[in-house]
Parts: sequence; C-alpha cells; structure tokens
Amino acid sequence: MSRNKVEICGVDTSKLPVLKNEEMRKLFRQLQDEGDDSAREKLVNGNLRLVLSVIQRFNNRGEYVDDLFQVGCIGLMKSIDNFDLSHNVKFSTYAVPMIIGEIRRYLRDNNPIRVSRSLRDIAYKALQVRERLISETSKEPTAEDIAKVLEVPHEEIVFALDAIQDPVSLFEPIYNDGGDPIYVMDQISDERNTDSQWIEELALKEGMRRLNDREKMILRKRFFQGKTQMEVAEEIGISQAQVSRLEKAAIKQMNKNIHQ
Amino acid sequence: MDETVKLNHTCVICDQEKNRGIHLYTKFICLDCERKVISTSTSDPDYAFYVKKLKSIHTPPLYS
Repeated sequence: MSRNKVEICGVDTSKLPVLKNEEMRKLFRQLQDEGDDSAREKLVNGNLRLVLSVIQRFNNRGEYVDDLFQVGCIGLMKSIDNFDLSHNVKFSTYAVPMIIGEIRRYLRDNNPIRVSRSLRDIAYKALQVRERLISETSKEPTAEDIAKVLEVPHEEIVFALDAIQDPVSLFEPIYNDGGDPIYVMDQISDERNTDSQWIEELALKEGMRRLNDREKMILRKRFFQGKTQMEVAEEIGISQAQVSRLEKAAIKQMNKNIHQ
Repeated sequence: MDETVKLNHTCVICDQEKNRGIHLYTKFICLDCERKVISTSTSDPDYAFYVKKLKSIHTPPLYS
C-alpha cells in the first residue's frame, strides 16, 4: 500500500473504492431488478475514479476545471441510470464517452461568450499549427504563417484566436505583494489621456500664452465653453463680425507661435 | 443498508432531511434531487445551480 497521496480536484484517490467487473454487474442487476438505492450508491462511488481520469483529459486545455468534477459526477449518475447490461460491455466503455459528453456540453453551454463552432474549430486548429511551428522553427509564428498552413485568410486567424480568449475581470489581481494588489485595470492605458495629447496641450498653452487678454477671452468662450460667435458678441458687446475677425486673427497668431 | 440508518441525512441540493438517496463521495443527495439533476440538460439554468451546490462534495467548507 503506497503512502503517496494522489489528490485530484480535492479528492483523495486512495480513499476511493474500486469495484471489480463482476461486482459491478451484480450491483447493476440489483439496481435494475430491485431498484436498490445502496447498489446505486456503491456504483457511483466505485466509479468516481473514472470521473477523475476523464477530468484529467480536460486539465491542460486552459479551461476552468474546478466545477468539472461535479459535472462529471452528474454524467456518471446519468450513465449509471441508463446503462444496459444486455449489451455485454464493461460499464467504463459506456460511461467514459457519456461523462466526456456531459463535460463537453457543460463547457459549451456555460461559456460566458458564445463562439460559433466553425470559428472555434479554426482557433483550435490555429493553436495546434502554432505549437507545431514553434517546435519546428523554435520561434513564434506570425498570423500569416498560420494562415498559410491552414489556407484561410490571416484576418480570420486573428479573429478566431481573439474570439476564444477568456474575458477577464478588471479587478483580477495580477500582482500582490501583501500591500495593495495590482489589478488588470491598473495596467490598461487611458486612450484619452496619452502622451501625445499631453504634448499637444502644452503646445496649445504655449500658443495661447502670447495672445492678448481680449483674444484669450474670446478663444476661451468660443472653444472651451463652446459658445457661438453670436453669444460671445452679445456678452462682450461687439458685433458678431468683429468676433469672427478677432477669432481668426487669434488662431492665425497661435498657429504662428506654435510653428515658429 | 436499512432505512432507519439513513434517516436524518441532509441533502446537499435541497438542504432538507431525507431518508432515501445516495452518498456521493462525502455528501448525501436525496432521491428526488438526484432524479432532477439527472434529467436536467446542461443548457438549463438550473444546471449551474446544481453544479454550484454539488461543489461541496469535493471542496471542504472554509472555517474562519
């Protein structure tokens, strides 16, 4: 008896009972002839290893594995209820595809974003090709490389790979040193507040600095407060034509100031 | 197993005490809930609820 504990999904595999084929057939007969609950209980628990082995196939596919054990158990219970002894096959022969089917359906129906079957297929093929190209050339292939192998437009590859990305919460922590954690949100740049805009603002400020007060006021009212020439004219007691002229002159002056 | 022994088991899904049902690994599922779970399709909104409830069969409760 090995002392090594193998734990899958929090289930200690060494504690799970194992049933022999004959025992299993006896239990199935008991269940199907007499409707014996305890026989079903033994069958479910005696086949939990089957569920665990199936889950492991789904382990390294980047899917969310946590709930698969329950789904697998439901699949197992479904297959126990539907198993037909008269087919004379081992229970596992029947149960494994049933459990796999249950998990596949669960994953398909519970994806936060529904992706069409064909797109998903392209994405999985692209991932496979990518793996292969990496091992062959030992460098990351471009979308064009993958597209060439799969003979589809490279936009499609990009689109498909994008589509199968899992959505991530803005509050998903990416780094935590015990203090304030860094969330995904903290690493997303604000597109309205980028460096180039900041530089433009500086230039604008510089351009406006050399204008006289009257011109500054008109520009401020026109472009920062969004008033019409008529409104500005009324406010400072000049005609609209004058506002237009002053505005034009000020902008020209600013242009000169900035580009000189 | 006779029925008196099984009495007073709390079902993980409906949280009611039932005497008929099965033990799945560490927890008990009553016959009625088991029937319901088995006949639920994966696309049914109830399915997610069952999966959540059944999670406790392999994740021990956290004590604080």
